[in-house]
Amino acid sequence: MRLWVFQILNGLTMGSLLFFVAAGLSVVFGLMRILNLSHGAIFLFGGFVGLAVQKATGSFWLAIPAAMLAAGILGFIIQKVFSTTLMGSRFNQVLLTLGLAFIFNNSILAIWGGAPQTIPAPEILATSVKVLGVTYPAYRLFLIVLAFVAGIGLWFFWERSRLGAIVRACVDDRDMATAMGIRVEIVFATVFTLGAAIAGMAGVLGAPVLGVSIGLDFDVLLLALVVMVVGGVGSLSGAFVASLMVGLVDTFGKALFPELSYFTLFSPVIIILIVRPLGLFGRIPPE
Amino acid sequence: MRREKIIIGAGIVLAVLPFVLTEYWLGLFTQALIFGGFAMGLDLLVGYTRMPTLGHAAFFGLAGYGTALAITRFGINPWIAAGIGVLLSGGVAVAFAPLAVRVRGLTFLTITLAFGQVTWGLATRWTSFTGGENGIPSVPRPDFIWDLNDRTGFFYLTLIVVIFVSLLISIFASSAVGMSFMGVRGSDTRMSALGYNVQSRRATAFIVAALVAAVYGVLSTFFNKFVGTGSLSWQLSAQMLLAVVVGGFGSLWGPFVAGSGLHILKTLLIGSTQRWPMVLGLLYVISVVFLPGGLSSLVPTIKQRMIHRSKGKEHARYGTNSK
Repeated sequence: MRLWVFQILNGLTMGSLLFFVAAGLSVVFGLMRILNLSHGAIFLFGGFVGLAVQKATGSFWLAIPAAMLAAGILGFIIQKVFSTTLMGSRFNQVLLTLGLAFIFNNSILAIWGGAPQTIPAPEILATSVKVLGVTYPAYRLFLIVLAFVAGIGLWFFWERSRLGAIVRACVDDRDMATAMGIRVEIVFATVFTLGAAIAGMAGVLGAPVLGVSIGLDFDVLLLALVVMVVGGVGSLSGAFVASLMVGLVDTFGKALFPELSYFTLFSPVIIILIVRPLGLFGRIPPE
Repeated sequence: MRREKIIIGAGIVLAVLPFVLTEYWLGLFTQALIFGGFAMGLDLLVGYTRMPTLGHAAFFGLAGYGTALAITRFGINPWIAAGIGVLLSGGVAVAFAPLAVRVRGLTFLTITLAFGQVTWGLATRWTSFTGGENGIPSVPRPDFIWDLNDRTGFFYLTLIVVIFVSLLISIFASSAVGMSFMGVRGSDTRMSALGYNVQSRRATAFIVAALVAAVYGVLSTFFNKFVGTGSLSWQLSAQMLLAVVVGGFGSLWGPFVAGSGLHILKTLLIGSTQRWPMVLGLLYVISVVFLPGGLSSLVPTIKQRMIHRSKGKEHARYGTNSK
């Protein structure tokens, strides 16, 4: 029983981190039909910037805005420089952002080296708490709570605010939104930048759990892609539910069948996508 | 028939390589031929039907693992083991293709990526059977009319296989089925309105590309006398996808040249620096932004320019629509 509670909490922690990465990826895709395969590299870039800031200042809480700023700027530059190609054929976007992913990955290796590192959890959270009969790191619980708070916050922004309505309008019908006088390209630039900033934040938030290391970018990207297509592209609630699902399945697969862990994660995913190509909550065909 | 003649001609030219190259370069060219052939097969799927896959290394690696395991774990004759390897990949492709081609675009990309990771994960984690990260070393090469343990001997076997498979691909590509792949790429609505079963065409392209990858996977395992998780990695899939892009969709020869060239470049760079992913990435970006048609698009452009120059202004005025 204890083991189960422990694993469920681990799965939720992983799912929470995935939500931050996948939300940006999914909304950008829903909005502009742009698949950004360099999203994982932006996540890792945020992690390393956060690490550098944390080392320099000793403050975890300062590392987060710094990473968000750096990742946001990177995202802004990407969409600014490559806007023509990004707006072009889907095939070219995929290749371009895949190329960028390789370039960022290798640049990170050149700047920070290949040794896996970690950011220590902030002192106030560096303890353990008793939950449901198990002792669990407070920092991980904080992540789970944060994801739920952020999920609810984003939901309100998405469903209730004026800006959210504008973004949703652009997702649903870009031409009509343009006709209504919405500056779609500005909405797009904003969302792309914000998505990158949130991915950068996730890089720092995830560092005490996952560490920061070369290769993590592609692992996280793959999981985020899975979350996005399972949840349904462009759907925030889909991304939330799918993140937790993928986090749980991944954790349990690794714990129960370590030799088959990739199999246990991806086989259900392949089946879900074949049965329901739109994903669980999707309305847009991800083509 | 023109393309088949070129393939045979190129094969004859390449046959002199053992007389002019050192041992090291001959080995490198043998591998370059293998990866060129792999890319050429992938062109049938990626170039002809525009299905972007990030998981086709799975079929390359599965065949290699199948062969290596059959020989080292079960003591099966290498030739039969090679057949088992190709059948394993082919069988998996036949089972997976009808499911995979039901989805398109991004979902297809994700599914193929996930599928590739499943095979990679099995090879990495199932240590007791597959050797895990260490792979399977000391895979013996088969006996043949001439000695395959000799670099030159293996080069000629590779060359023969490459010529044979390339001829098959070429004939297949110009057959009615191959031509219909291009129709699927152009407009699948129109194709299904014309009575074609679009999904079965896609599945066929998928399986053919997988079989080609399988043949070269076996060849690569014999060349290295080793198979490792790298042969299943998605980085290899990405490299092959790039080869098709840089080479030019649907030209067959372009991806072959690019696949070979990329392998040579990779080997030379990995020997001296850690910058291979950077170069790979830059090549992606440059080819997408500046050369969307790939290498093969350069040839008609050059040809066109020469025609323009020789036939004067009139031709230039009417000839531009082919651009």
